[in-house]
Amino acid sequence: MSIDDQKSLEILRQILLSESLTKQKDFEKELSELKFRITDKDSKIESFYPIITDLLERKIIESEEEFAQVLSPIMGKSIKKQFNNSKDEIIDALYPIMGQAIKKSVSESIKELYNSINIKIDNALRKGIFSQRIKSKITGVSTSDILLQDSFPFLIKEIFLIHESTGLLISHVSSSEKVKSADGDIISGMLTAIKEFVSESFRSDSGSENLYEIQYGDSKIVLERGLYTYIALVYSGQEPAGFQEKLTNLSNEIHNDFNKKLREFNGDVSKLSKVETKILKFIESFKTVRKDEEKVKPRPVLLYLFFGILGIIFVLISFLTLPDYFRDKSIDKIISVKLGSIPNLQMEKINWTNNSGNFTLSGVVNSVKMKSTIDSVIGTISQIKNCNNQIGVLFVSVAPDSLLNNIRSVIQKMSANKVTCQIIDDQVVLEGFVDLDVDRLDLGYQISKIPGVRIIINNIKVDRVYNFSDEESKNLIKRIKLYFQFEKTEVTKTHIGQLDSIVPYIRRNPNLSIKIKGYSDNIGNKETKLWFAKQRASHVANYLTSQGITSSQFLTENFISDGNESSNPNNQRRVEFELLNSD
Amino acid sequence: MAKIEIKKKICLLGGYGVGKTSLVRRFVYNKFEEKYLSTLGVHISKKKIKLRRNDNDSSIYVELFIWDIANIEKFDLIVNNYLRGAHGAIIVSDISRPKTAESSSELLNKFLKVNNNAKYIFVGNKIDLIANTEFDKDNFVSKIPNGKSHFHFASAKTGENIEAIFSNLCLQLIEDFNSG
Repeated sequence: MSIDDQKSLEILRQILLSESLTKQKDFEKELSELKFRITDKDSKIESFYPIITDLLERKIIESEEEFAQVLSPIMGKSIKKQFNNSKDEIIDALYPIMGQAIKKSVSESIKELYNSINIKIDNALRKGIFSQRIKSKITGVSTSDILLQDSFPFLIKEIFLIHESTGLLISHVSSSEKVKSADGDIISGMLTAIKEFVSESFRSDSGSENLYEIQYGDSKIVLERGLYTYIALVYSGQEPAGFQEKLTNLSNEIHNDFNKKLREFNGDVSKLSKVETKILKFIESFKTVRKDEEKVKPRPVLLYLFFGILGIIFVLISFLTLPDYFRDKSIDKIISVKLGSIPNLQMEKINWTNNSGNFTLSGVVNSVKMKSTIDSVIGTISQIKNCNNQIGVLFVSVAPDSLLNNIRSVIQKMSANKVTCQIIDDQVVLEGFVDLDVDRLDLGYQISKIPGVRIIINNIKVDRVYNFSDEESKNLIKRIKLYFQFEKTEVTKTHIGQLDSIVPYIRRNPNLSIKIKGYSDNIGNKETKLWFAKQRASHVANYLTSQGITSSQFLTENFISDGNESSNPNNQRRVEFELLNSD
Repeated sequence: MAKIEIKKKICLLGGYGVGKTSLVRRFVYNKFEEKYLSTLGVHISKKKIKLRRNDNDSSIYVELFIWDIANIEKFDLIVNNYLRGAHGAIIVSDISRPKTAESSSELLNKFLKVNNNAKYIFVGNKIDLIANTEFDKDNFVSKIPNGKSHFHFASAKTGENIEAIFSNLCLQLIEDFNSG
């Protein structure tokens, strides 16, 4: 090829390839730029910068979890580092938001706690400190503990019996369905995991540490560990005395009773179904009413008011009527006793009614004397203000001759030789003289007891010739009885008549010693009665002194009648004499 | 017809990212991805399976308590305690990462040290990833010395074979009941 040809070829090449060469140069230039961008850090950042956000977004959408797993350690470290380096700045930045949130949360919690404590203490105090003190004395538990137990009543919510190594739930019992956790199986597993986590995470020099208690809200979970199982007991309120000991006993009992089945446990819980009964029994032994779960109901004020007024009325009526009722009962009893002591009185024929202290007696007796005796007896009952004696006298029909003989026989027996008797129109008329007034009364009394005697006209007079021999005087002194009205102690004219009959003899014998014996009836207070007896004796002694008898000649003594002398109180109230020496 | 109900604890073992949690989620809740966080390093879920006994006349209900344990590789004392008492284990590996198969044997040995009579099963997860590619299953299984007889492939993502894995383990767990 000639030189010209070569030049021509070159020219042709330039014509044909010039464009390609230019492009090649451009490519080479672009390639070198690309190489630079890939190798140069700044250029790479510049290249990816516009698409990095899109790229991350797409990656997150595709695999969020994977992305998080990759980033979380870095982010965690980064945040931690940031916190360490600029704690103050972060706190300052977060404070306006977190500070307020924490304040609000704490304030709400305290308010809730305050209200809760108020309600609980209020409920406990409503029961009364007094009753709590009594309970304290009985149980031996301190009052403050009882108050705490009342304020925060103990309630076992549920009990889980969990297999120690597998964490499988063997039994789940709750005090009520309301408080029963929905998935006891998962709770058992998680409790086991937490237990294991704590025991290994907080190991000490002495080995692993056991978890005994977890608290959440107002409830606690206590764990009682055994060889094959452990008990997780959920409760609220204040633990009662001996609770922990009983829980340990429950665990021991379960292990003792089901030892073989627990040892060979293979997941078949039906073999251990009887454990439930034991746990239920345990819960029952602690069951108390959970006061704080009871909604605080509005107090039915009107109802309280109504029952309050009703109560007051009842109490007032009781105050007004009960004393009367008991008094009436008491008077009835006294009347029964008093009338019952009257000889020959047929009580079944006697009735009485009480209208505010006004008594009406009814029935039948067989003699006037009996009727008057009843009057006398009733008269001694201080509680009876008025007594209308409507008792009828059913007389025994006795032939007048026979009756007259009976009367004369009594007169003769009493040596009343100067006394005569006749019957006029059913009336016994006594005439004549006796030595003493006491003889007159005695004679009338004895005749009144004779069956058939209705009315006695006692016209006997006392023959006041006090010129008795010494012997007669001695007998007289022994026989004299001075009778007194109810609560009377003064010496009456009748008494003086009787006393005057013995004064000359006593005066004639200055060495004579006499005991003056004062008596009272036996109704009422002993001291009062003795006082009356003493007054009677004393007044008689005073009279004798006033008649010139030396006081050294007599002494007084006081008695309450024992009723042997007479059942009639009118005959019990008296003064008698006793000769201490007759020389 | 007699009815037996038993409870069994099983543990899920496997390295990071093999899909243990996804496996449980798929089995228990029939869900694949769900946010999941366990402070204690363990998540417990349960599922009841009904199995027919050999006599074909009665059923056994097995309630499985599945302990999904995190940071299993550390095998510290806490993990050891979590494994304690387990009746069975599922050892999961990721078929896209052959190394996870190699560590399966080690995990099993450690598990058996704690529970020497426990039953177990190996699972190669993420079988969905190799659906359209060549994958030598035998080669993967051979990396686990005693895996051949107890190995299953599965996919937590698609749900493939999941029920079968758990049923298979359950059948082993109730051998005593079946023979009795």
